[in-house]
Amino acid sequence: MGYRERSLWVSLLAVALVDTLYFALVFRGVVVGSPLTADGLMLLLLIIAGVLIGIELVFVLGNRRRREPMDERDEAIAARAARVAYGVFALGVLLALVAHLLSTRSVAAGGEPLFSWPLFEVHLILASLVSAELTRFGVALLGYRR
Amino acid sequence: MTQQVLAERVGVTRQTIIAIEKGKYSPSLEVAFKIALVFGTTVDAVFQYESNTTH
Repeated sequence: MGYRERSLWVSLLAVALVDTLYFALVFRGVVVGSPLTADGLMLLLLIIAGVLIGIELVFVLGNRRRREPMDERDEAIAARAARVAYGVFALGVLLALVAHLLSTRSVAAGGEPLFSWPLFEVHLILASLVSAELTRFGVALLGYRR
Repeated sequence: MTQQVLAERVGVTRQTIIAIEKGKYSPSLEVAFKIALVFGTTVDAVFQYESNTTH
């Protein structure tokens, strides 16, 4: 397994682990009835960003001697993975916009918001971002295995 | 010549050389010419095109 593949596996596992934890906390907060506030969300995101950067740094420093620059095959695989991931992210953002629009219309018509989760659309966009990242890593790994 | 040495002289990774050898990756013309140059021969002596279409 080459440096790029190892790096992708580390990133994939780190994002999957940290974001599973994040969404588990958010979901638990909603179920228990003490959902995250905007400040809490910001703090959690900063912690997650810190953990992810830390994991990447440890990997990069640990593999400094074996590090290889990207060549044309790496770039082709990365470009294909990014194209697929962009589609996933765009779909998620579109869903968040539709959800927001439907909820706003429901409230304007004198009804209840369609989604009781606070910051529902933000979480939907975050989930899209995470899904897009996981897709990018997955498609790239498949590209190397093909 | 090892795959690693060839990769270094061409400027790609060893994994890319392996993928080219296995026919899983078609290199750019530039890399194809560089490989031929390393072996001191022509591109058509190193690479052959195999059409997958059946008639």
